Amino acid sequence: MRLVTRTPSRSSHAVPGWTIARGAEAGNVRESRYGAVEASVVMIRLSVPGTLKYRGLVLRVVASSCKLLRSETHGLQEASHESAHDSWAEEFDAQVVSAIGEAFNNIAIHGYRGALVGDVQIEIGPVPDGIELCMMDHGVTFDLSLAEPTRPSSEPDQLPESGMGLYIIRSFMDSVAYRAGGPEQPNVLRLTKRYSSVASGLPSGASDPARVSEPRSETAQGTRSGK
Amino acid sequence: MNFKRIDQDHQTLLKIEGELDANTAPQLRPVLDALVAEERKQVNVDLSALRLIDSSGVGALVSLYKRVRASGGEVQISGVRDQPLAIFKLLRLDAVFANNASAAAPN
Repeated sequence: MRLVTRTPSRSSHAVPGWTIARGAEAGNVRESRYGAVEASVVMIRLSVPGTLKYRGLVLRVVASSCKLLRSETHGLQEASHESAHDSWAEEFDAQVVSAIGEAFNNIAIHGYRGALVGDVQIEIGPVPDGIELCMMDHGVTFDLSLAEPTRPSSEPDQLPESGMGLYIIRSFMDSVAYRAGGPEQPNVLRLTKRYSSVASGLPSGASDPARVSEPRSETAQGTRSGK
Repeated sequence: MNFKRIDQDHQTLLKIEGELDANTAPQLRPVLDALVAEERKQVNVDLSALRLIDSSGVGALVSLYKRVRASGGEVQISGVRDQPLAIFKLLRLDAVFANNASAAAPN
């Protein structure tokens, strides 16, 4: 397991357990093996084996990353709006963790099925008004466009017992994009979540107080194929 | 994930703690299967100490809910909060279990 964090600020400091690199080192993002994330400033990278054993670790890192990135963006506003911030921040974290958990499940259960094993790389970084997470794997390709989720029935006798993962991902994230990999390229799932999608009490910069109730728009790319 | 089952007459309290997900749901399945097989008439599921749930965990609870009801029993779920509450709201399970929010549990 590898965990590296990078931020685009000017100075350097250390956080226990994590490696923080600032300043010019933020340019290391261009050294990424994964071309799909070149346009973003990558702050945090995590690589784990693609098995369910590491699911909990991934989600703890994602939750901590949400807090870390949010503090960079909204830290100065927390003091005067503490309770409003706590409310939307918890909602934000819960939705991101839920979506990443389902995405990791898909890779561990369906991507690396049978004898096919490999790692999952996760890169988390800031985007305007939110965060972006990229998950990369070399498992069996998943086709987002052919797996259209429907809102589960709330009729007691028709409640679904499976097949809710993609619905959760699409509902909780503001954008979902998938690029099928190839022999030398990983599958890349790019997820974006905006603070303003949950932050009706956001002190400034909030443009949309809407709360998730229906699936969000997304872009889907890729084709179905086994690798 | 930890769980505790307490039976009292026809009622069962099932308290689930920690994480109920693709990793741990299989561990809970035999417990849920036993409740169904024993045809428990009232199953109260306390999720107040549940920190995390995913679609696999939801599937396990929904399976319990449907099977107990099919055999003439009732399932009440209470104490849902934090990340599990976000999932329940999205999947509208909070509406399904709305009348069960203050479910009483056996002592």
